[in-house]
Amino acid sequence: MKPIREVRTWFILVTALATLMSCKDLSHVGKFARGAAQEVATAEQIEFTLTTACLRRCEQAAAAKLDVAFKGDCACAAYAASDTIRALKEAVVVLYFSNLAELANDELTAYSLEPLTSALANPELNIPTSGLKEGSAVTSTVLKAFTEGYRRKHVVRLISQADQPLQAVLKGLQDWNDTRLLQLQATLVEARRRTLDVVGDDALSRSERSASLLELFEEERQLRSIEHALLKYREGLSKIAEGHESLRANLHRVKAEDVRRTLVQLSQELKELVPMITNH
Amino acid sequence: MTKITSQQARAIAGSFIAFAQAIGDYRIATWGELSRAQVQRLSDAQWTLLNYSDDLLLLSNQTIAAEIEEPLSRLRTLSEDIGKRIKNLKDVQRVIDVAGRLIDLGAALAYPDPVRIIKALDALAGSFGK
Repeated sequence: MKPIREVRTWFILVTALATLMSCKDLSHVGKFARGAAQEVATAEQIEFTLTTACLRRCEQAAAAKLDVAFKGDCACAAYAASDTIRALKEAVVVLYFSNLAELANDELTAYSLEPLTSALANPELNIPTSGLKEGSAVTSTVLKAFTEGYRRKHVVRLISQADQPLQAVLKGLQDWNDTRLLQLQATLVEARRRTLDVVGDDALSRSERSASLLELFEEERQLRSIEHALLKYREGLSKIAEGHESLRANLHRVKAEDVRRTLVQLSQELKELVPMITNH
Repeated sequence: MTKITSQQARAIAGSFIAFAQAIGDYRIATWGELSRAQVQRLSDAQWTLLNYSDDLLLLSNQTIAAEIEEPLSRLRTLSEDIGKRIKNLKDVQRVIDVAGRLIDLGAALAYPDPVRIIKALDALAGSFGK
């Protein structure tokens, strides 16, 4: 009888230890990371870049010169390169948050031992079914505990090591966004300048000048809508920086209620910002 | 010579844009009072200022790219590393699946039955293909 009691004691101890070691439910970290990845990925849909502004300016110059032979040969390569670099850097941030989301996903370590137990249950192998069930339960719990420990360790390590470079990169993305906002401002000023030129041209008819003003109003409306999206994206980037900083500051209590609340709140705010960026 | 920072480039570009805007406001405030030549000069000045601001904004972006190159490279390395950890965790399930298939194969070989052996081998190959 004694050996059986010892086996049971060990079983209880292993299960208890495994439960203590496990780090289930990092869903709030995953949710926040998914929201952050989506937010940055969505910014690509804002159809206003340095390249579009450059092309617009180039076409306007050709139109002002009444250049009928214009074939779109604009010197915008440097602007296009700059926009591509920005997009690539945003992609790194998306990759980081996507990986963090996946690592924080509790399903990642929800392993199924079913293929193994059903293979062992083959009657030709002569393994008692009761022993199999017990063994499978212990294996499952211990496996879960160790993989959860591994997962938690790497979530903590990732957040800790990534925070400083991430904050620098997020700051860079905010600066880039500010450049776009300024570019948009310049485009607005340019549209008004052009309209003033047309409206002040006495050689044109009243209806032509009036039509030019109407075009300006429409263009202003479109640019204001893009400006709104860019401002929302900037807001989103601040929230991402705030959320990650909060995670880093609370590394050893990522499951604490206040940290969870902050992240859930930020995730919700990020979720609400996405349609404001896409529907401009 | 000290290099201009991205922030400084943006600040100067912002000033040029604000100046171009101020000229536009002046044109509206003096509407009908200026000669055609004066209006043209003001419009040209706006155009030139906006072109300068374009160049400065491009410079600002290029400087940001250089400024964040090192942290970005660290972030990329960390992201890739974590991708490998995710793969390791996913491999655990794969190992379990393969172990189950190997046992099936072992049982099929112990009690020779060509159909079972082929099925077990197919299943094992399937596990590796996941």
